[in-house]
Amino acid sequence: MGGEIMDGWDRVETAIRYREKPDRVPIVPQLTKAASAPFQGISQADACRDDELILDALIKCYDEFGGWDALYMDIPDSELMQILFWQQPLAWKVPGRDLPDDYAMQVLEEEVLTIEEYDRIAQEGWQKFYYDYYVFKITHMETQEDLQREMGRIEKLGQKAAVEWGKRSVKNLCGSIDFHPFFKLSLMRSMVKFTEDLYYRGEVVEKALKRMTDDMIQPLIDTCKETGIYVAAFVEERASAFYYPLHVFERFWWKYTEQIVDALFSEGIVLVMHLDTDWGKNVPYFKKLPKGSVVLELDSMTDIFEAKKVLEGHQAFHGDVSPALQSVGTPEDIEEYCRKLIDEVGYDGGLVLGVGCEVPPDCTKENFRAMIETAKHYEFSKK
Amino acid sequence: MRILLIAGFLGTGKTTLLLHIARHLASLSRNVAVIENEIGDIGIDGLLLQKKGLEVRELYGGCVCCTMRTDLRTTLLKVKEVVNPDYVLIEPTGAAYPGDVIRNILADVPFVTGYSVAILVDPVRYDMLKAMMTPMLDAQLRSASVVAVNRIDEVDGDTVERIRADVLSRMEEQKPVIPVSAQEEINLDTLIAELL
Repeated sequence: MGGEIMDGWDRVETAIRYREKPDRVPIVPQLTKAASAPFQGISQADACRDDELILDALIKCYDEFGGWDALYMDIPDSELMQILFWQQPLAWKVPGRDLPDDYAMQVLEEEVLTIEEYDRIAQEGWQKFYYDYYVFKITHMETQEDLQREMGRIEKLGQKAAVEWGKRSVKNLCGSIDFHPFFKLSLMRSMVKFTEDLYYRGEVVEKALKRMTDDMIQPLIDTCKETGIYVAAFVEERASAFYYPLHVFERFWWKYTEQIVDALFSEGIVLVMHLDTDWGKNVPYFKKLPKGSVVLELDSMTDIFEAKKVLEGHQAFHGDVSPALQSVGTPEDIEEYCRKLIDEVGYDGGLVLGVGCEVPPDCTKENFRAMIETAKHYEFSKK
Repeated sequence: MRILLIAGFLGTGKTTLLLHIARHLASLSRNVAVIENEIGDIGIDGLLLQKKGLEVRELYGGCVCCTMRTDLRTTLLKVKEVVNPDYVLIEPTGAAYPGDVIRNILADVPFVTGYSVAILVDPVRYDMLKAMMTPMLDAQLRSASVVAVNRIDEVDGDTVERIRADVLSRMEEQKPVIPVSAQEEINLDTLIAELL
């Protein structure tokens, strides 16, 4: 492509580690099953029934739109993949099974974890608690044989995916993904019950958080080393000042996050934090972390331009074209916003362009293409 | 088409109140649609409501940022086309600021003639929610047309008055704060009069 002097992965690494400004802004669209299915004329129900169909859809989308610098999803984000490999600890309502065919997957948030089980996590350890016991509460699986069979099936799909993505010389943005312990517990208890726990039995929650944090770090490091991708990710959608005052954030989220970041960065691993809702009041905390150690992946509810003023030269961003704009806006709207992002957030290299959260199921192809093309051509057109 | 948003934390009694308001409007021969978008189980029997002549739509649950806005827009457009209701009662997800929900509706749906927002406050859990979810509570109160201190049958009168005073003190712009019990149908006529 005219003007490019770097390959996609170099571009991404340069941006997220804040080394220097890459030749152009890297583009990593958060394309998942939800949007790749309708892009390829597949119903949400069929997308949930057939992982091979969605892998095919992800690959076709990549080819149809001319590719991008790294993948957000190399294999389909099915219900079981998210539960077993990302440790997203809740069940889903699935179109075609629990919902009409044209609905997107819905979270089914219920009080699954009991108060007594906090201590069980602290004593047994998170990995054992989750894989020996908890997954059977939220899935149809009944035995370890069921579990191993499903994990084996998904790993086999991953091997097939690796061959296809290898042909296209494109890597995953993240070598390893998990959910922040705070968010996991909130999902497992349900939001209001978890909030009651923070208030009435904070010390019990802290013991579980500490054990979960201790237990999540080494697997993240090991998987990054196995994949050779020294970028990890965690998801957090509830700890911000959108919901909780800063004293709650500090006590139950920040210190565990510091521990995770320090451990990963000491191994050369950058942490992408998928941060939904408005983190505006929390942004200054990320300046305390080592430069280039984290990427704030914002969903368009945080003012990214104000956040840039605080974290300029220190931490990079991924995002944040609004999903609503992708659905109801025009290609010109998308182009204009992407240019503004590149000019005001990416001018010094600290930006990976993408959407807020994920590409929505009713994103138009024209809008998606506008984002990709603006990333690839805008800066060269200015020279 | 007028929007009535019934908002508050999960478990504050929104669904019970919503059903009462829906039945009241239906008794006045108003055409009513109900939209549900709570992240947990909604507790509304859609089939039961449809038998009573009320149209019920359930939104995709979960992601406040990605899909809520366009889902709501699509659903309201469809409801307008199919039902053409006088009123749309919406129980939004407790994970979103009600003010954001209303702002998005007004921006995206052209035929809305007006709106009201009822914020339900739970006196049983108020102190805990005030301490722990202050930003969300204050955002709810900012968007209120009327605040209902619900479940008054479960607490004593002094507690109700204390919470009512606290809610009033937190509101920049004073709005009616009405003690009610949706379950026992206490003071609901007063609340509905304010809302409509």
